[in-house]
Amino acid sequence: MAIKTKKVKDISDGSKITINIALAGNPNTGKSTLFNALTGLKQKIGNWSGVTVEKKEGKRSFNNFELSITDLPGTYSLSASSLDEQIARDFIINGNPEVVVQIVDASNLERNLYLTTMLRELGARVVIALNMMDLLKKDGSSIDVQKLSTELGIPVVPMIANKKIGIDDLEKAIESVYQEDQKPMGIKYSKEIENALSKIQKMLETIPSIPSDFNLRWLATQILQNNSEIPTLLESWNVKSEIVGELTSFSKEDYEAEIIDSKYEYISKVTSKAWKKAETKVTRSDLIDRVVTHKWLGIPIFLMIMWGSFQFVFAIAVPFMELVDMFFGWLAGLLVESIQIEWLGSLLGDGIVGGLGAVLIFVPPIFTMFFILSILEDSGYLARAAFVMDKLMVKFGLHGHSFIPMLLGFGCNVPAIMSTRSLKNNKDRMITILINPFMSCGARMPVFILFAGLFFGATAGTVIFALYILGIVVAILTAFLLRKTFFKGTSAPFIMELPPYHSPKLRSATVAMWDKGKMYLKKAGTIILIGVVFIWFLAAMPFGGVEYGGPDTWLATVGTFFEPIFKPLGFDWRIVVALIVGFVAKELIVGSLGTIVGGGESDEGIKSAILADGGFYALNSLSLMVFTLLYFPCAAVVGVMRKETGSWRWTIFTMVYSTVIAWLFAFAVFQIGSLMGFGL
Amino acid sequence: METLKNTSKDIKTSLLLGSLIFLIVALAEIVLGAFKIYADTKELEEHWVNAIPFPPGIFPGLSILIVGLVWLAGYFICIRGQNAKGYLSVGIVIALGFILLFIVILLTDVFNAYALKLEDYEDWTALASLRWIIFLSPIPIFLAIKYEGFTVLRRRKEQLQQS
Amino acid sequence: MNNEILVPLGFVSEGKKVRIVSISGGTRLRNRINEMGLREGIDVIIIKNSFGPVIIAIGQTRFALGRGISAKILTESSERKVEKWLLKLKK
Repeated sequence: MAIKTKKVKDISDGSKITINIALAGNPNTGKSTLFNALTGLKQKIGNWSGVTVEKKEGKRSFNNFELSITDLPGTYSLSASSLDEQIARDFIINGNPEVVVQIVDASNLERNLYLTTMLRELGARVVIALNMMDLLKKDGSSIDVQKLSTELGIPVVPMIANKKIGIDDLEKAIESVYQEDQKPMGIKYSKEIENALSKIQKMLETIPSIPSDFNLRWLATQILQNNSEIPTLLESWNVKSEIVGELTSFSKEDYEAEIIDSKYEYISKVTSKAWKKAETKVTRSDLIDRVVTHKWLGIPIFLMIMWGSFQFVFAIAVPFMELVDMFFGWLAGLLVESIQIEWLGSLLGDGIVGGLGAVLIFVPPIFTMFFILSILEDSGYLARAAFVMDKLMVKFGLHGHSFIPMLLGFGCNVPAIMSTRSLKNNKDRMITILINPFMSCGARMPVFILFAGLFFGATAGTVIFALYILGIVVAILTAFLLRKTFFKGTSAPFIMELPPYHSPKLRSATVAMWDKGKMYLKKAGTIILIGVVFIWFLAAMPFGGVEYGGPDTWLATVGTFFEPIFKPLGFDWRIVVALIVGFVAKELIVGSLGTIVGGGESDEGIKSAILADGGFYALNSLSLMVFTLLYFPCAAVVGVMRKETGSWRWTIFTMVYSTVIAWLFAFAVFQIGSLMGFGL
Repeated sequence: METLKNTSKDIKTSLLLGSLIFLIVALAEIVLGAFKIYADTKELEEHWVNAIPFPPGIFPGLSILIVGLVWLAGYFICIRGQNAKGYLSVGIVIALGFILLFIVILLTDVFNAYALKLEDYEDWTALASLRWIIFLSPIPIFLAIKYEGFTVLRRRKEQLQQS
Repeated sequence: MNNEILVPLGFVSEGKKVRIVSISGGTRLRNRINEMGLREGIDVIIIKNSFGPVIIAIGQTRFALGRGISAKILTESSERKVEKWLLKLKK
């Protein structure tokens, strides 16, 4: 029988009811764990309308339902004091989620329920996923889930998301909430506020242009709290400015504080019967924090962890890289031997295998880098690194919070720039965005690994480490300059939650590594492939007679034209071409060098080709690495910068500024090095 | 329950002994490592430091140094009557982390030399990748078993009892 | 409010449990901090206060607060006896 019913369900697959779900919650509550547990690998990453902020969507089906789940940014509130909060709030208003699942950290019930009151006020139908139930006992606290659910008037599902416990119950709760309306939240403000609210609400009801399904009570509370976005919203509905003025005249400065207090009062009333609070205690995690944030030891510990991470990346990656290199060498040889048509053999061998091989060889270190970064993030150490750097960052006009996007920039600058949206002060955010390209992303690592590995032997790891540190130094100095000139003012107060330490999970680190790393693979298959074919074309033209990649090709003409600018840095025309192509994507630097230098005629990879070539040596490769580190952000970063800063002016400023800085630093390295006798 | 005050005096001696051993080895590796780099760059094959077979470098010595410093700071924290358990744990975690790192490096070197037979590894011997912190591994492992292992086991037991 | 002496959070010594009495520095800032769960009337333990930001514990949550903001959060000791005894000593 059971099998039969299942079959029936399978047939009705096409007519499944789709429920739109938004997943909300405070930061550090296990939201992404729950999202992964719910959706598995059925995820896609898109953009929020209006801003390039990563938007994760996923699907899950059960019984006759298909859940279409949108992961909202982790926020404490929906008061739109940061871009994160604004996005979450706007999705609940405009994205029409039928059910909002709020994940709540059971050990922080009070603070988490504050967000619940905001969601309910917006009119969302809420299901609470009460996560980390297993940790309650240890803390000496307990929650009567049934009672809590009755008091709140919404379903509360106890869960342990990282062990996938409670998912079935969550499905049931979503189904029941979807099918019936929830009673409004029983929050009552003071008489004064309630009177004002009903007056405003009455006035709003008389305005026909406001959409009929808009939550007027919420709108009234926002007007009362003097939300600065409201006048624009009202004007967009063609509400006359006198009426807007009349409406906003109700607001008073103290109202917002009073409303917040009433919400907390409501929460403590609700939780008083259902929740036995744990006493605040000093924990093992606190003792560890006292060490890693120590006055003298904090920064050395941070630096040693960073150094160790880079060594790890380097050690793990080398053998894999050799294997990839061998494979492509073999492939190139095979192609050259077996393809008789000369130009096709050259395109496949020199162009595609030479260029793509040079890029794909760096899949192992880049994946390892993402792996390590996500382990640092998962373990909770990243927040401590921000703490440790706060003192230094304050001196240069930022605070520790800005250091997290910087560290994430070691993976890729695009998501790192997006992560600045949790910063509350706009000037802080601008500076943090503008300095981010100096943080050396994974795409620059190929250049470092290739040249440091070739010319710096056993100290290669340390040279690379020094380059990363140089990136941080230039970034921080730039922040200082910007703060002293264009973005005067003080930074927002530094308040950051320190999540408890977790032992990092291999599975989640692997998933994160794959998620972020596959972007690199995708790029290799699209833009880099086009780039290397383009380079091959220029390197082989004009056809007939010219030596491939030789001095008579079109490529050489382009390169030689710009060569004088780069001569003082020690670059010949081939490096110049690679750097120009690198404007699009930094992976193209090794990609095009592979195409130009590492021809497919031999069965050797790019490494031996560069060693055999006379144009590369220790000093000019060092200045090349410095230039690559600092110059022009790649096209993707330019795009995200434009969107996130909302200004072409600042985006162009960064493009020019970084290239000039890069030239100056590379110039200094090459000239001082030559003077000291390290030249060719 | 933990407090910021010192509750366990027995870790004091462990912290002091551990830190002294680590600091001495660290200084030795840093100084000799620096000599070795000097001898390598000047290509002085006859230099006395080459008689000691170990890989050149300064940072690997610093990784031992940081552990020693953390434990030493912990010792002084103990003397001041504060809780130094955090110092002990952080030192252990960093030490084990670096030991793992250098073992991984050693293994990949073995792989590069014998499985891939890379050119750079023609006259490679295991001694060329054997960092000194690996020899020190009994210390953090002992400390982990003595002070940390117990709590882990106890937690396991509690979990079993719960379920 | 009462006859206790109010101490800014940044000056409370490590390991002490204090109650937040008021948060000064503008209503906007205060509201934002309230929303994060840092409110008047709750007890916090100072985990670290020696260099850089202050670390405080509220229940299972840990916050790092910059020097500027921790000067604006006024607290009173929730271990009153100890505080009075200390005051006597100082006199």
